[in-house]
Amino acid sequence: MKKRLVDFISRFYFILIMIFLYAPILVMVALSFNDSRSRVVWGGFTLRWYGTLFSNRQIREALLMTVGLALLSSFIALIIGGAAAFGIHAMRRKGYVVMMGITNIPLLNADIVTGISLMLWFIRFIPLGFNSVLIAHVTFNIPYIILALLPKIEQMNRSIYEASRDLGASAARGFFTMILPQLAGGIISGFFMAVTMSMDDFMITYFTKGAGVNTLSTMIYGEIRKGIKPEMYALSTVIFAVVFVILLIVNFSPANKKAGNKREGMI
Amino acid sequence: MAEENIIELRNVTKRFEDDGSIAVKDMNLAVRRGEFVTFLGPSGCGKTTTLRMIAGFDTPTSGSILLNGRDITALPPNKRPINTVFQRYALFPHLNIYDNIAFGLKLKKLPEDEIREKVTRVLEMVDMAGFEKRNTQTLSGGQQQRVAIARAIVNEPEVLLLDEPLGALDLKLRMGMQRELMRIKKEVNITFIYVTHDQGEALTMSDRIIVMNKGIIQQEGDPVSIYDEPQNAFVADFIGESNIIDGIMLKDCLVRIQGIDVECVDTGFEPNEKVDVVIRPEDLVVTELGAGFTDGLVTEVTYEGAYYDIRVQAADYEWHLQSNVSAMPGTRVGISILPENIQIMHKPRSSDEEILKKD
Repeated sequence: MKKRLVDFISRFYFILIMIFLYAPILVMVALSFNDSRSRVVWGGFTLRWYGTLFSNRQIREALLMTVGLALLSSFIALIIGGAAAFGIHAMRRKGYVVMMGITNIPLLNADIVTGISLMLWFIRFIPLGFNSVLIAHVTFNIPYIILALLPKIEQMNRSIYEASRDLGASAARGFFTMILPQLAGGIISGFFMAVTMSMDDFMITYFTKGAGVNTLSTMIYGEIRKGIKPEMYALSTVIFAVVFVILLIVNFSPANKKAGNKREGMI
Repeated sequence: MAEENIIELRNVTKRFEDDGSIAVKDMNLAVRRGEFVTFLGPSGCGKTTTLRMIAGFDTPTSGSILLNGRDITALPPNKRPINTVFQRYALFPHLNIYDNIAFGLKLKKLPEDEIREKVTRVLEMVDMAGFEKRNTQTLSGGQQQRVAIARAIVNEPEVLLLDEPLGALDLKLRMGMQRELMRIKKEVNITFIYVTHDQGEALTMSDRIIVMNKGIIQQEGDPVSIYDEPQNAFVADFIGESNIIDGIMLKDCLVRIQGIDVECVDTGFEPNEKVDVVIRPEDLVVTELGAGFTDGLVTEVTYEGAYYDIRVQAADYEWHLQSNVSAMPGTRVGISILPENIQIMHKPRSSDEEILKKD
């Protein structure tokens, strides 16, 4: 009797959480297919808003900017963060702890603080524009790369690299054939984590972008001030779908499964 | 020609930059072509670091390493005609046995049929014929070890380095692999440099043993001389088991142990010099009371299979004996020793500098 009650409560609680988390998103998705400008009247199913969405030049440019910025900043962060992860791994305990602390600060720091401080820095040295946003995104992406790569580097079997060198492989060949494959899972999950974070960001982008540069989030923010249009529902639905798919890829990528490491899944 | 040096270490020192610790201190060594040389010592004695410097994975802080008289100190591992059998085998998990062994040959761009022939031959040599297509993970430890050896020797290196290759195997398998290694050594006629902390392994296989401690060579010599004539207390203690007891050298061939004068065969000490006396447990014999050089009380007897391990308390020292004949705990017995089985050593001048003075 008691067990059934506990079961019921825990199930009820779980369903409640799911409703609070996902019901608003489902409502938004539903509204994006609603053939009516009203938010309370169902006017029938339509793809109209998606049509206007993709024919809108401003939105297309913002989408291109968002995706391009995410991919480029994540790629640069991957190279810098990857080098940093190897460096941190090679450090002794004291340096290791200090560097991991420095890595964690941008993650925990409020976006607005990061955003404003970067802006202050940029307006002193470079004009605000695409470059400043790119540098800002690279900056906050690096810690994600380090956090995804470091455990992989630590688990890595270094002796097979040495064995390949011993048998005649050059340093580069040994790295690409022995080390890189072992880190593939961390590279993929770190890269996509960074892509997600970059696409997700509003605050830092808002403070560091110059006039004329808009990502989807800053553009939506600007649009909403003029009044909410159904195209925005459609756009948000698309973003949600993309992030959802990326999450699935990261969590079910074969490289990740093989390592049996569940931590990367927790974005 | 047979006596030429293939590997030479000249004043090699390795200091690790991150914590400043010295792994190898001013080491000089020459390995002759075709020799089976073993670095023997406890963990942290510098033996693996020395091996890694010869392989090219670590660079000496100072000093130089020569191969056939040519300085190779700065040469990366892939440019050295030296191959390594790693401690944990380090087989490539994504390649099958054939591709593991062919790895080095493919990098040398040998024709495909020549590679195939060599791989087949080497697999036969290590008794693994027919395993070409198998995955490395499906092999037992002993089989992985054989593949690791095959992968190294198929390249016909001038020197083969083996880093505790049998450490992960169980005792029985280890004994078998020791014989295998000696057979392979004979067949391929490559110089072997072997690292181990297992004195049995070293004594069984080596032409020459280099005993190391704290980055310094303590003694080098053939197995018999290392075992029978340890030159300091560290070597005596590390190689086999020993009774090491303080003594005073009264004159040539006479040493005083615990106030008892005992005949020995060692000469060349100062009169009344304080010395370390080393006696192997198997050289001590249990006798009638009063028939040996000392008497004592049997405190402990353990049956070890091949012999009895006996402890005898005499005055303030507990003697350790290994004997075919048992003794009754609690009884008093005599202990005797032949003069030639007593080994006398100079006391080290300081505990840190237990370095061997070569004559």
